[in-house]
Amino acid sequence: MWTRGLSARSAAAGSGGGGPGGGHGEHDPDEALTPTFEDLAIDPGLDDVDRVVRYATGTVELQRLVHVMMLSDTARSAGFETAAARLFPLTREICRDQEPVVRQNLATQLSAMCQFCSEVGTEEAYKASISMLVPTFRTLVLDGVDDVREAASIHLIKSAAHVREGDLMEHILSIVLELAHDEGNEKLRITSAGLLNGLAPRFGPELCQQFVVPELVSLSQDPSFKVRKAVALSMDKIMRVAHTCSVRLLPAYERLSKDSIWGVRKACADSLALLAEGVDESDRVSRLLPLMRRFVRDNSKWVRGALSQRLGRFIACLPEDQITDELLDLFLGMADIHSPSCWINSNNGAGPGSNGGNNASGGASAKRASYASGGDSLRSSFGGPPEGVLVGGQNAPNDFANNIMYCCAFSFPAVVLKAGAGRWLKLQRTFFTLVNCDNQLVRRVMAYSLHELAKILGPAITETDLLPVLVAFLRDVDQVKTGTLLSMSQFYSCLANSAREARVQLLVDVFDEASARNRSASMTINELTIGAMGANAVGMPVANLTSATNRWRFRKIIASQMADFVALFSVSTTVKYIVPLGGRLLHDDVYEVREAAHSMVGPCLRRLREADENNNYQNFQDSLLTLARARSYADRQHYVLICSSLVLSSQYRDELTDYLGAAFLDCAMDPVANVRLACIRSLAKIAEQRVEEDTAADLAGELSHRPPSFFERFPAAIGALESLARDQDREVVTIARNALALMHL
Amino acid sequence: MASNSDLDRQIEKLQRCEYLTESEVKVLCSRAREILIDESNVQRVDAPVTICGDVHGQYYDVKEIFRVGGECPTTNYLFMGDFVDRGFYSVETFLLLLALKVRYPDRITLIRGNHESRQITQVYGFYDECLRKYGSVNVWRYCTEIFDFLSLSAIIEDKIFAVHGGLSPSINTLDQIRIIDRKQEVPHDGAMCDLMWSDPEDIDGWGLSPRGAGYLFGKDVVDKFNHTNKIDLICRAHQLVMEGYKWMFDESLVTVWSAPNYCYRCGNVAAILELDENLGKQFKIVEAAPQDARGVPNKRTSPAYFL
Repeated sequence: MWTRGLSARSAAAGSGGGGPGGGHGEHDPDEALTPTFEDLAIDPGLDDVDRVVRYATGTVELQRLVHVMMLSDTARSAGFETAAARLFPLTREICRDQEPVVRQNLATQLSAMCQFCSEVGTEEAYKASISMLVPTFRTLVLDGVDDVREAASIHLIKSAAHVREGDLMEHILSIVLELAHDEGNEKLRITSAGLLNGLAPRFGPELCQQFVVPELVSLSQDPSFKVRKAVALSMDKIMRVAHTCSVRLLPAYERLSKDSIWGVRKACADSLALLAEGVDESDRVSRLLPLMRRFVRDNSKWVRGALSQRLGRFIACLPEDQITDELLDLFLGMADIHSPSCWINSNNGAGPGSNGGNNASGGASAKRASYASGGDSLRSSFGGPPEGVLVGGQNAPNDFANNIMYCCAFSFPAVVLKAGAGRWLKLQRTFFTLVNCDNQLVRRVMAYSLHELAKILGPAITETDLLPVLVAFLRDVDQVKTGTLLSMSQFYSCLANSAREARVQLLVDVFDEASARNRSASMTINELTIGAMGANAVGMPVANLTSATNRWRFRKIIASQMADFVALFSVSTTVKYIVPLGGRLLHDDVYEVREAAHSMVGPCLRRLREADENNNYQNFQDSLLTLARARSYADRQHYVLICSSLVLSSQYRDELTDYLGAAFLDCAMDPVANVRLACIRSLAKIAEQRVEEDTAADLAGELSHRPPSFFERFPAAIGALESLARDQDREVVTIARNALALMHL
Repeated sequence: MASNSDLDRQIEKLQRCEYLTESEVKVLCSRAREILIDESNVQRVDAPVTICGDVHGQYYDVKEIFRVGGECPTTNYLFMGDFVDRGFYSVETFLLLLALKVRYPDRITLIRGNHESRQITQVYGFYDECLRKYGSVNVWRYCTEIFDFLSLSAIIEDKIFAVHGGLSPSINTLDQIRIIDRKQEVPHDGAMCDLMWSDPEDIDGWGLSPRGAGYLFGKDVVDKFNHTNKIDLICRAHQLVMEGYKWMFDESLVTVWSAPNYCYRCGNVAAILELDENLGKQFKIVEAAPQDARGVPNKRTSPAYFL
């Protein structure tokens, strides 16, 4: 029998390596507690309900975990009555399982089962969830293990969505209040603060004003600074519920912002931006802006650091007349981290070494404190950039500087939008500092948002200041290059026509580089064609190696924007550069790249047809037809998919001319089954679309006015369907018969 | 009996790297058994087809193969064994390929590798993975029972012979392979074992294999086998090739390896061999899926910047 504990690590997905497989009966003496092969063989004759009932509370921890994770799916497949009779009662025993990971997973299952009951929709199901499932949360939120309590909190909030308003107080709020009133356990009071905030939108204004706000105000005066800190981080959602809530909570927040413990003040700085978004604009200016100014001068580096991460978002929610030069300087100073005048660079103030210690004596302890040890706090995502992207690690002071730079870059577009293009000269220096930052994560953020800056700043600044950066970013490391490429067509749309036309070669160069077969191919962008780099961009890393994997992904990104490029460039440029580029993409080695390029065919056909110059339209159609008549089935298959995408798009269906359509239908007779399969799948989708459109037109009384459908324009398509219904391939026949039945043929 | 719509739903689940329930696996394996039992030891395959070598539970790299080569059934596939062990996702990898086989039996062919064995999977990871994911040995049992029904080799348009390992001194003709009783655990020696364990080597005739099973065989053996059976090429897997594929013996044999960055540390690229309907060959290189293509995508992706 297996009685050894199951660690959370062993339950995580993936170990993969080899190692002894616990072979039949071959036991290492040290592994005497390993379950036998027989222990691990489950009677395959048991149905899922019997299995869960037997093993979710069994003796083998791994089996208990696996079967607890099956609870909600089994409940759904077994139906409500069986679930209520046999599965729901198990939760009372499982919530006392000796393994935390089992209890943690139970929380997930409880909310999924509450949702199931809600979907069943009967009174009986509702009562079962209220009486059997929700009460189990009462045990889980009191759990001594932090992970279990956290999971229980998250899923209690989810489950509350299925509890009727009239029952919220008795069944949900009572659980939270019990935690909040536990004088002997500060961890439970901390959990209650998060729950009060998370549940506030569900509780609504009345319960919030009557219970939640007074409770939170009371907790904000808790003797434990950890509880006060949790409260400072747990006000944003309640503030949004009703103005009256924010009126009563703001004084508590103001009091916390002056707390003698730096950790509490830091929590206030962390929550400032989200709080600001939840209160009236007048309160932002009159109540929160002064707090922000106080945080800037706080003698704790950690408070100032926390503020710096939220400052951009805070500025973005202020009215424009409040965006003073002084405020902008504060924000821009974040990028100038090495400047002696930088406001976050001063070394006085309390640090984490003081264990959230008091304000007055913070200076000395900060000098001893490790920056790295404050990393967890810095990585909080409370209203700031996403977690997991901030740097952290060995080189702590640099990491701190990099984090601040990252936060500045993250909010930079929002601050530029607020400040407006007219103040670009003030913002420009910081922009160049950020795009030249050594930290690639900072450059990555700038790369992803470059097109947004272009939209805000207009064609002139885009050409002089942003375009050189775009060029440099296209030569940067892959993650920076990806961000730049993803919005390249949007960036180009912000350039003046002449500047855009002059830079078309850049697109071709980027594609050529992404098509290089040599694994160690380096960048081949011709600098003469793109102009000199801006002086500020000198020193950017150049010509890094791009992996083959990323190269085809880059081509796919370009392929997916080709339709936009067709619309952006003049006909002559389109014919000279974009069409040949599209041709290469439509013949790409990688399936997904070819597939992404299909979307450019419709816009291209229309553009060339409307321009009606130099036989370009006919030439493009001919080049498409080479696919239909290619020796390789893959080309013919792509031709079918291109035609299908034309017909299925409401915008470009008329671009499928008789010329192209006839070749499409010829593919129904293709010797290769995969081509016929592509053909019948396309025809089936077209048939489905026709039926849907006819139904809609009929309902609107416009059936007689609708334009001719594909099957009316190409009567041979019916013959193709009938022929495919007699095909040798079973799948082709099935789809063809279904399509014919759908069309009542 | 599961319908095609159930199968389509299961394939969708597996394409999200979610594993099936034990009862779904049982039904899937039962349906697969009905299909595989009718297949020959030398299964006939029509061109066009894309040939893949070992994938070893590297689920996200199999998805990468489909992204480069096209999804099944848009593209026909022949996988030459070693679906499981070593990688983190043997369950999802094998079940995805098996579900595709059941759903599109004419569009995908699976042949057996030396890792499709009860003994080997207990040592190299698949057994442990099944236990961890299902809490019982049942799924491992269902899958290993199906391994016994997998075909031993394939013949494409009568010209290209595909096998996991290589040739056997006990085998001169394809007909001799056809008469093997394959519905058993991989034996320790004999023709069936050799087909899954042997390797080509620059030697004359036959040699002992350092693997302890199967044999080493030289160019003369390949030339004779190809001449006797009127085939142009032997296509096999079984050996890691850093460049993804490797021609040998004046292009009469090729090794295709489809597990990029094998064991997540070898630094190799993978290859797939595309054969068009005229048996025109094109190798496509596949690199390991990048980190952001691994794992279940977040329901709410983090913004790249704030505006």
